[in-house]
Amino acid sequence: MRKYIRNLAILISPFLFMIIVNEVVRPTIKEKSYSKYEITAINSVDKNTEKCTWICHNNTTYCKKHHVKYLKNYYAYTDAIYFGIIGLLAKTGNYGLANIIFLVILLPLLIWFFIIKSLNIQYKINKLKKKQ
Amino acid sequence: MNYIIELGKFIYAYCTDFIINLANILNLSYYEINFIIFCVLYPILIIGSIGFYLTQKLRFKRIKEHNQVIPIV
Repeated sequence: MRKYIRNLAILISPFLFMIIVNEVVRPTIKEKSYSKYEITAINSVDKNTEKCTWICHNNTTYCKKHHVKYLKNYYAYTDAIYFGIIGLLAKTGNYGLANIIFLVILLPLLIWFFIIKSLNIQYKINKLKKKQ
Repeated sequence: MNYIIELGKFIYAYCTDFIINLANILNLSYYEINFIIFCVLYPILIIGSIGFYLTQKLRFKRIKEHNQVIPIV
């Protein structure tokens, strides 16, 4: 039973963290929320040089020009990887769905699977050592 | 089917909002947070978790052989 709770906790903790961050920030947003795909988002789409909004999602050039601090000198390298991944996801035909399937479901599940497997082996190792 | 599409749209918007919020909390940018999470952290976590698993397998095999005991299933 403890194992299942541990496994479940490892699986849901990143998602829980996301919910906590979003719900803590939500009441502090004063601007009009952005509506996209008939869904009302938390943040606005207003251009704001002080902070990121949905405009940074819709227009990467704006974000790079006004908000990026540390990667400015490395665009030659970062753009290739960044837009390479976006291009790969877009090639599937449905960018949004590919994002969810690969980046929100499959890759976290893969990482979770190997972490759980490793912890189970550690449990077996501990059992063996106790038997000595 | 419509419900699943709506749910997908909601998850996409919610995750994007999370990245925007994280960028503002950490005083970074949406571009930088995206790059850090999806271009740096994800590959490290994937390779790291697989590497950790293989190391654990090898450790278990060695300890088992050293102890010459029947494996615990």
